[in-house]
Amino acid sequence: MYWSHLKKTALLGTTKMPLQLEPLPEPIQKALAEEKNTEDLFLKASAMTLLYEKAGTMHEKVTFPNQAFSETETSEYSSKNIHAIWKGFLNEDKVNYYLVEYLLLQCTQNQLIVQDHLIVPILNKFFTKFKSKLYPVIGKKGLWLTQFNPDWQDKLIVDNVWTEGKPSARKLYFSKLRKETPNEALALLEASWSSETGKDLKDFLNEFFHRLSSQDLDFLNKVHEELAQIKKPKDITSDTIKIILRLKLGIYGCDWANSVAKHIVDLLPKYLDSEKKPVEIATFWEETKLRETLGMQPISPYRGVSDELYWISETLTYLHPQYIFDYFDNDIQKPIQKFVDTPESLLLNAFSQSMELATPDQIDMFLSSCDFSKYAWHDLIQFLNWERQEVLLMKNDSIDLAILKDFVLLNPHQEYSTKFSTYILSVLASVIVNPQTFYTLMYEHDLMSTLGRCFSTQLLKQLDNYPEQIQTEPHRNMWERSVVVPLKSSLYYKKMIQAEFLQKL
Amino acid sequence: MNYLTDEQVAQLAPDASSLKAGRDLSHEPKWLNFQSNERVLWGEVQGSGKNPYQTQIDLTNTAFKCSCPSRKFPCKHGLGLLFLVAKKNGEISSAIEEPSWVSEWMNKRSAKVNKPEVSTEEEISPEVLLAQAEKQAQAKAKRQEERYLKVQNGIAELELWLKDLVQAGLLTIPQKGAHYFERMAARLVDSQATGLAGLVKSFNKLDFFKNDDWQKESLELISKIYLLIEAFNRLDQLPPLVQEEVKARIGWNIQTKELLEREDIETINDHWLVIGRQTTIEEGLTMQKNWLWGLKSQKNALVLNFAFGGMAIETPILPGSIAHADLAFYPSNTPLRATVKNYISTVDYLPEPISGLSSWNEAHAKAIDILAQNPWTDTVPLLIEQVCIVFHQGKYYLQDAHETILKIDSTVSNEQIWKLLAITGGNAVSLMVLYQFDSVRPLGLVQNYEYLLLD
Repeated sequence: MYWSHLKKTALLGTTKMPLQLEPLPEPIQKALAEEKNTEDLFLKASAMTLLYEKAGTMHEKVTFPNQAFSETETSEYSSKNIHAIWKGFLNEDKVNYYLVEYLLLQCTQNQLIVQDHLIVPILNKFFTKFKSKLYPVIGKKGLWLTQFNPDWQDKLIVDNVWTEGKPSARKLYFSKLRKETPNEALALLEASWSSETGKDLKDFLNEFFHRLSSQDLDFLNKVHEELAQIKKPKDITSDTIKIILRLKLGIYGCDWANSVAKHIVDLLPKYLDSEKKPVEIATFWEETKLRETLGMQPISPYRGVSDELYWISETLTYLHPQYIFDYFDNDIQKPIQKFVDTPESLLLNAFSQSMELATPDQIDMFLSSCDFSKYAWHDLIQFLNWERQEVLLMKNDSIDLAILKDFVLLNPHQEYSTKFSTYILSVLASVIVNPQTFYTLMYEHDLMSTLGRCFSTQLLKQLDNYPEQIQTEPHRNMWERSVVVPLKSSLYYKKMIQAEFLQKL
Repeated sequence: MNYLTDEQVAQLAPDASSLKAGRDLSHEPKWLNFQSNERVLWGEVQGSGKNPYQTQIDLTNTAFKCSCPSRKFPCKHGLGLLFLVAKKNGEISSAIEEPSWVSEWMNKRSAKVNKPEVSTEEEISPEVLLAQAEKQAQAKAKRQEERYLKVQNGIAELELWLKDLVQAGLLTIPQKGAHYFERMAARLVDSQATGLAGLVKSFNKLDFFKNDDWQKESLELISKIYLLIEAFNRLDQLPPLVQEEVKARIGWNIQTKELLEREDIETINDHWLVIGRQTTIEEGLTMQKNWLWGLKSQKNALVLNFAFGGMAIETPILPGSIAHADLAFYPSNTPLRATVKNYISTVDYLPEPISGLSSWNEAHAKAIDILAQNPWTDTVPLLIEQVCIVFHQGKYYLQDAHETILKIDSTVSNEQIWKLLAITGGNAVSLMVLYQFDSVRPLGLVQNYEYLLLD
């Protein structure tokens, strides 16, 4: 309070603004009454006044509503060992997030929460990555704590995200729902589609390409019918109709798919089998207006690919593959071989995309017949069980780093068999011994982290020995640095996590 | 075994890179072997050299030895071994028999500590001894007088400098530049008034850009310096203990060796809870402030340790632990600074519940009692019961049972406050704090028979 009085003299100096004693407390005025020197007077007055104020500070009294955490935790606190693993992750500079997620999952499944003093470090280090997935392990107290830091609040967690969320949040929600429980997603959109904006409806329908089935047909027909009645449709409406028609091509047995399939299988021999005489192509596209109906570009965007080939490939992408198998009298191996052998990679890719609608056995047959380097196989392989995936990959001669990365990063939480883990080690070794890719693994942190999560911990022992291919000193050094060190570090953690949770089980 | 916690080990690291390297070495498979007994922990680790490095740690005084060529102290191997033991909660294999390379070092250390002072001189007659003592006393008095004159000259110059500063006004401070204050501080160092030099250097720590707080802070600094000048100018009129306090503040300190030899100093045997530690590094000098709390005596103590060039500080005092020891206090009318005279052992748990003050008003009364005797007091360590963290108008406060609030010091990070909230859940707890009159800095909390240090 007296600071404001001292301030003027203090800032401007005693020459310009000598200190006036009057406003200061009386005892100080008395003590300094005899002081004549301006600087001494100011220095003494400020020393005394500041002490006077310091001693006389009265602390404020405020009544607040109770802000304390008062619930009872329903989960158990983690053991000392789990605590040690968390601390280890917190202390790592380059932490393996896949293993953190693994631990998170184990703790969540076993309803274990972390010690109170780890809540803040865990939120600080891992919230950006895992958001609300952290909430079960920080317990009710941790959740209560998030109110003090907006950075720890997951904005996507809204109970009524579908009815009140922002468009982006609703789309994320719907996309996730469609992939996980397609029927629930269908029911949700069935109830609300008439009130959705044109753009949102189009985006939601685009999600139907995931896990498309005949159960979607009635709904698609209903929306199609309604939109088709609009006399002067906007561009967005026309686009939505095109999406619906593409979707319906993937529903085996529906009228629209039947009619298109009939023509397409007639066209295919031109590309797959030169001995058979196809129908007149130009006439077909002109008569059916299929290109315009499905919204394909009038000119092929691919260099060296004719317009017709482009159009038929696009159509094939959406068409249910069973139509092709039917054409070949259900001799599945035949069409597969034809697509594999065709020099037109566009057709093979289109067919491989449509194979997502096939049965696992058909997919297996297809993947077994074709070199992975020739088409986008990643989405297909996921329809097979893990054992088959491992076998197919080990069988495939064309595995290189790119294919390996695609495969590994596709399922970063998969448990590999020891045999498969060993096989991947040999692929990594071949990457190092290849002079063109000698340095590559040094920069593949994400790949190494994923492998550290997926590999069998049995590999820890094997990592002490060099693979056959690694013979020279530079190769050994690179192997140690880019493979052994990161993998060992991750596998130790994995072993600790497994030891803890397997014991519990 | 008596092991250090992860947080305690982290505090020993000389720098961030050593800390990281130490943590990297905390994986068990990296060690060829490691064992311990009550007094020492040792292990062998394969480094880049041909032979494995031999690392050993004296657990009593937290002293390190390693055969690696690192110039850092402690090296990453010492830290790694301690981290490893902390990870395993001290549960490692113990061996009564130490390998020769360990026992050799440990025996040397014990021999050094227990070395009796053997006089090699022949027996001297009492007259000669008396004459020698008189001579020494005369020499000491002469040295003291010379020093007094030196300090007096420095202080006279400082007084003029200070008056120039207030004549021109504080608004000129930001324009003066660091050199202006460093030059004055250097002169004070030459005059052997290092305490005052430190105060003058504090002007360079003011933040002129953040807000206007620097204005009041600089006047507080000026006032503190002026009070010391005034006190020194009247030194002979002050009571002896106040004289000692003033001399210590000026930088005229008693050497630790001399302090321990003096018979008139206050020595207290107690279980000392190490309630907090603050380490600062300035111009290559590491200063470690340890605040202690005597469980029986209810006395506070401040143990300062120093090290140059990033060297580790060897001390049996570890934050959060309880050291049973004799502390020798530096003479003062408000004794606080102390040194460990005799360390006996470390205890993990509070032997009995401890009680503190029940309100901020009580705390304030205690603090102004000290302030009345020692006007340079800035902080008073104390235990306050039943306080909880509250969030009010964008700031965090500690509220006592009577609803009185005191702002948490602005240098305490939000992260530290959230950690405290995570532990307490916002409920009332007993806290060890540094009371700073208009704000407070929490150091740790007392829960049952445990003291949890806030890092």
